[in-house]
Amino acid sequence: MNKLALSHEILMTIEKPARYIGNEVNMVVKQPEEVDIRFAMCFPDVYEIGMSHLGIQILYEMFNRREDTYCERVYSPWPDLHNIMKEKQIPLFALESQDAIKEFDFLGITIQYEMCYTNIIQILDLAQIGIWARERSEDAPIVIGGGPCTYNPEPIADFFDLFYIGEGETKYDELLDLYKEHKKRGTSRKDFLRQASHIEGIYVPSLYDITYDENGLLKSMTPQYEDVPSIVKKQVQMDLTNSVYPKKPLVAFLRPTQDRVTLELQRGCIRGCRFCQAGMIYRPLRERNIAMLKEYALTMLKNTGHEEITLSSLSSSDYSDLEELTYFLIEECKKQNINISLPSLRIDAFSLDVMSRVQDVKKSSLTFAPEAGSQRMRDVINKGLTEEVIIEGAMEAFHGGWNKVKLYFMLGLPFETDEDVRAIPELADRIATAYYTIPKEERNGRVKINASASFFVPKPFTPFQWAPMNDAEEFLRKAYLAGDTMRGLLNHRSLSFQYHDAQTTILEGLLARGDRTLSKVLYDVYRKGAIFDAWTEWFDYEKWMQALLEDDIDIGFYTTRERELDELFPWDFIDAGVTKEFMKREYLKAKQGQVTSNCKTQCSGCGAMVWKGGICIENKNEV
Amino acid sequence: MYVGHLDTLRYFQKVFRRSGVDIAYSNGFSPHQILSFAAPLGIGVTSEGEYLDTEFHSVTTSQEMLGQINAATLTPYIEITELVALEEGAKKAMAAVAGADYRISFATKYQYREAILKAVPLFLEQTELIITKQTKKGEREVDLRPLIHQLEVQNDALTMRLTTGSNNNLRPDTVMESLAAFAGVEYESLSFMVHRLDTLLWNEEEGCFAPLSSAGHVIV
Repeated sequence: MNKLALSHEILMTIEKPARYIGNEVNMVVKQPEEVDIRFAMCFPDVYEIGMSHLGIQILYEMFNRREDTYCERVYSPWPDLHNIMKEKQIPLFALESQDAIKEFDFLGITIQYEMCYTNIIQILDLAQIGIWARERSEDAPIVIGGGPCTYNPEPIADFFDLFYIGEGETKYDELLDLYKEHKKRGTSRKDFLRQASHIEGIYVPSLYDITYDENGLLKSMTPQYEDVPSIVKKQVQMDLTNSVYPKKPLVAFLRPTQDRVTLELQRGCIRGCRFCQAGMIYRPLRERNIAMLKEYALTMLKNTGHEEITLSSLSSSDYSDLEELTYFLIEECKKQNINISLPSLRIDAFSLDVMSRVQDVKKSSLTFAPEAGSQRMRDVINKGLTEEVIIEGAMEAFHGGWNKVKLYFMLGLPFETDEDVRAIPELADRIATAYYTIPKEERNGRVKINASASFFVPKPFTPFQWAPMNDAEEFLRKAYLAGDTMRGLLNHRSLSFQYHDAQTTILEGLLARGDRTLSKVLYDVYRKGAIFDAWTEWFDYEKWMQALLEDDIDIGFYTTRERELDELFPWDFIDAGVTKEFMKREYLKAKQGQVTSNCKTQCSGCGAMVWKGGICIENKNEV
Repeated sequence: MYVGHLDTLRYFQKVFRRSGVDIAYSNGFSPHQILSFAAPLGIGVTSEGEYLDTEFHSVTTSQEMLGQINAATLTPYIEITELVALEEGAKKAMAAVAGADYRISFATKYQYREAILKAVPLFLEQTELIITKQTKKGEREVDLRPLIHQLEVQNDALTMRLTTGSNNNLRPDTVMESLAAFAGVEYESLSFMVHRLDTLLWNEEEGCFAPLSSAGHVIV
């Protein structure tokens, strides 16, 4: 074996040493001394999760296409190795060259969920480059963040030198060119950051002054220099057909969570569900061309040897050429003995036909995501799925031999009443009732309906960004109410109900709409030993409560408080295309239980039209 | 060497797919290749003598197929060195395996190497070497001696031939532990590296061990 950063003794004492040795199939090999820029790309969670992420594969491909850049990978060391690295002062290293991260030019961290924030601090700590951006030396890597959580980067702003807001395909070349120039001329870190702030989509948190009023509300966020923009514009890759996509994705030795080829059909979503951040920040909907998808599917299968392929997007049923693409894949995969893992599709004749071809009907289940139990509540959240459609789809499937149903709901949605909560089990019960109308000899035994509920977290850049969140007691009260109601229903023996962890949800809520004052809490809770908070086995609520108490942070200020309509939010400096005016309108409509049509039916003037492309333009042509 | 046995199987499934050889699949909704290792290798152990059983729908020649498969391993650390056809009804490698050869090398900082190497002749003179083995049903006494077919000092390393298989199986680290105890020194599992040289079958006719590949014939 070539050089490894960890000794045989260490590798033999830790769990799953294959997480740390690199050398995977399709790994890019370059000579570090022959490139100008060394970029370490980090997913701050364990290897098996990080290796499953499509975004990193795209960026890995994009950076490594540049001859002057070598992009390598790094993931969070599991707690067993974490302790050894801390004790022996072993610096965090990248998988490809096994070199220390502190020797790199950039450390890029993708931030996919709030509960990885302590893992970000762990990465910075183990890399030995300074946890706080302000304490980083001239030769430390530039730490840059990206991903959905950067739509409110403020709670973690002080740990980063830069953030890239939006899709990576558009501005990274410009940023890397600028860096190369800066490195050649030997200008200071501060100069580079200031220059970088001129690039559209780049946010340099250290260049802003922030003030709060006497109630702790954000009062102002002002650039320190005239040339630093006060608004940072989200980046969107409009042409997804001719943009970079991996042809040779990495294939891990250790089984990743998603061990398959992933085909991204499109970005964005036309549906406009009011709770959904992805549905807002990735607007407008842009599709990839079907010819490109077919070609990439075959190429990637050939180059990886994967035995499974899956389709990815926010709402795959809305992809224009889904039928043609799916039947093409079914045929090709049959020839090559490859499995197709279907995304959740709207249940209709087409999806049932596809499902019956690729899965065993007796083992598979139908999935519906009504998100709310009552029609009133579904109107509030603008989820355009009616009970009629659900029952119709389910009945069609029941006649086809299916007898398992999964239903996804949220509890704690804005304007929710106890009646809405009880409507969750009642909906499940009515689906069961419908099943039993089928004559005994024509149905397939007893129906199994599994309803599960997550607790709602209001997110920035959604119409519910003003809404109060429930506290843990209220969440649990509602969960018990739903469960108790279910036990009293006619078909209760065919139904089951599960719900998520309320404590994690509360912290997600705190961080999602937090401001810069929370960075101290994050630092302190990490000091208390919190890492891998997204993992039930490591999550320690008590540590968080202690840190919040010591730092005198009122969690309710961030979670249960209803925001005034004219409140200045920490994330308002980002221009996500979708306007605050539109979201305000949507929030008020939600209060009235009024629905808004999807982008295909009618434009609702959200603001994403500024990109002059995708669904915004196609729609115009059709009308 | 740091990749577990099941992950190595998954790796080979993908190698075969990439290579385009005409491998056989099971029926059903999730067809899979029928692969099995003769004697799964533990984590931390290196090897130059592993055997894998599989079935093909059609074959060309050993040489051509080796070329195809090796072009698809995509790592410098794994190479298929031989490909032989087994007769219909032949024992699977896992059932045929009877022994394995190992080389044990020591970490330079391990202070008891000399003591261990010196103890080898006397260790081999023992007519029985009883150890207590922890099993699911409690403790059990096992005599190692008949399972050790050869044990030799070569330069600063040790080579050994041990009984391997599903009925009787002796791991090299068990021998090392027992040898350290016999020499009266402390056993440190991380102070030596195990390398498998070959995996063997028992040739009834000749009454000797032979490489597993001798069960089949090269396809020409």
